Amino acid sequence: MNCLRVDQIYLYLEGELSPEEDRSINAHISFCEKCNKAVEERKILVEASQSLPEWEVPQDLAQRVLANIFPKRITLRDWVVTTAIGLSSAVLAFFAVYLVSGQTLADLFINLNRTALDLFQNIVVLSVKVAKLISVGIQIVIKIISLIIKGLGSLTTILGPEVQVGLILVTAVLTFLLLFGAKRKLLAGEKAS
Amino acid sequence: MSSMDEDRELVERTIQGDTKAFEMILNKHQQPLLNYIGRMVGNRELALDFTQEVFIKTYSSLSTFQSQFKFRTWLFKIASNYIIDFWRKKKIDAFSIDQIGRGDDDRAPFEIPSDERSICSRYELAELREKIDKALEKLPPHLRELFILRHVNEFSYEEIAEIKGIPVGTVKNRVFQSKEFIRQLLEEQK
Repeated sequence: MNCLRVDQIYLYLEGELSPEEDRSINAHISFCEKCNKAVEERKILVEASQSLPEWEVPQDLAQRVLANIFPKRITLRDWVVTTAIGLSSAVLAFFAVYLVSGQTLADLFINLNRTALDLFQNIVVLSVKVAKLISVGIQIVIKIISLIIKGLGSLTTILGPEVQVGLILVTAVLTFLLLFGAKRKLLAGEKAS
Repeated sequence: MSSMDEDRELVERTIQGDTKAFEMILNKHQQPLLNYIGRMVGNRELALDFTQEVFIKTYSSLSTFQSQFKFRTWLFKIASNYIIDFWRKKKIDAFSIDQIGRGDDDRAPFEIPSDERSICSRYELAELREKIDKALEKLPPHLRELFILRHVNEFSYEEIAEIKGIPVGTVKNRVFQSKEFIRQLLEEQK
């Protein structure tokens, strides 16, 4: 037998050859030092290649895949359980306040109602003020924008550069006055209420 | 029951709506699939994303699985195509898509050189494994993939040929080339 080819050595090491070919290779490497050395060298490589470290799998990988494929649906039972827990917590909290405060049940109900009413009134007043503020703000912005558009239109067509600068200054002052007026209007509204 | 029959049964049960069966498939194949995808893309986060995506794709295609084939082979075929698609979309030429199915341009010598030096025997086994893993990153992807399928995932040459859709002879030749390439890289590192 001639000396071994490299591809032949790998197939031999991986058990891919016929028993007959294996026997003839065994016979050859028993006396051919060069081929024997080449086989030993590649044997180490193949063994190491077959036992490379594994990549660490996160414990929840399978669950992540399943969650993607079968997204959890909230069932009617979930809704019922959540509502029941919420209601029972509210009832428990009410009785805890009742026991700790030492009030009668009627007093406790009246106080709770008052607190709820105060809270509601405060929320309503706050909402009205916020709405007022937003509407005034929008009006001011609209006025400023229209002034700027008009001013720019006439500046570029009719007036010289010096006059244009003067008009820009006047516009700035007017804007300031508008803002100041808005502030006064707001304060007047507050005093009236 | 053989592993192949077990997979077939689990696939059948999954198609019938048994989510536990698919969970068993996941638990069985997640490690080998991550070993393969991880070494192919070389980035842990990307590898985990790809592994999840491949399993999701596999689940949605289960009805097309033909039970005369091995599930494992089919799963890796999906994974291999997924990685190729990713690189194609990213316009990364590294996967040497054009080389797949063509003749072998990479040629390691078939003859043993008379002055061949021992390289692998100089390392401890653990160190050698580490060196091989590093060298794999430098291997052309079309050779790296076949090396991983053969030596990390322990597929037969016939199974690899089925996964990649190339002749068995080409697979054998490329796997041999990949190992000689690694030896060469180890020698350069020394």
